[in-house]
Amino acid sequence: MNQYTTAHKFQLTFNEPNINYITGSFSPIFDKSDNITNPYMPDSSRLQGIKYFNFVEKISKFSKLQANWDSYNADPISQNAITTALETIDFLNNQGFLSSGISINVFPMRDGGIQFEFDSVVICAELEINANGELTFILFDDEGNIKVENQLFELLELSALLDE
Amino acid sequence: MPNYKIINTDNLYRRVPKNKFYWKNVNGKKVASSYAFKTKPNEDGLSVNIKALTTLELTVENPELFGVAEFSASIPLGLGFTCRHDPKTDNDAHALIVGDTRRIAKKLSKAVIQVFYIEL
Repeated sequence: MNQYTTAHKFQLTFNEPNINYITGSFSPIFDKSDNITNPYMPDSSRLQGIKYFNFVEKISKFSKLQANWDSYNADPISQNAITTALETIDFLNNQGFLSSGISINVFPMRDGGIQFEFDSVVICAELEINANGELTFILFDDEGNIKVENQLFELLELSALLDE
Repeated sequence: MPNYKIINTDNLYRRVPKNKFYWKNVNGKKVASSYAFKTKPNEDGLSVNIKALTTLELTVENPELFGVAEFSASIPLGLGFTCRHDPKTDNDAHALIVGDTRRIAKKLSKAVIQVFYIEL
């Protein structure tokens, strides 16, 4: 469990700034023209690293959700789903997707799974990880209609789908 | 006994956990994720409250922990789903969007008109 070891090593404390905890998007920093000369502006690789560890921290915390966490009888998040989600964020980080311009979000699911959401001007998609750790990729059109739904058997398939 | 017929002009409420954990940020606004609108495999449908029969205060139950998302019943009705009044002993406004809403959850999340008790 390499990612756990690394996460603890670099984990942010609650007192440290936690930029864009949910979206992981850092565009506001780069959008400010006065930041161009800002000597304290973090480089993109460091930002990607912070984003990665924020995701790891968030996914790990899903294990603390108790039954009925949504008030509508949601299930606790399964360890299989958490393990697969951590592998997924590790994969997305290694493939450079955390700094690719795609906004990535991760949420617990009511059935004990975890879902990733991918949003950009050219893609609207979700990756569902069910309680057994199985992967389903769903591609949507602009209105939210499902265009494509595929079960994935390995994460490499995700890379191909996001690159399309 | 169910006695309210849900029509296109009705609006529905769905509670969503309030913590930022559960929302995504799109152009500076908090947007509900589709997960909140997906049924579990063993459920008859998605629980909602009929706006005309309740208040935000009754729907949210605990504003420290939850917010409320409002959307039009015309969205699930227009997609062929039945919206059925399903009153409970402690909640006369309860209704179900009957069936598996997983395939329309994205559309429901995009159809949210307003959110309440959530800092935008």
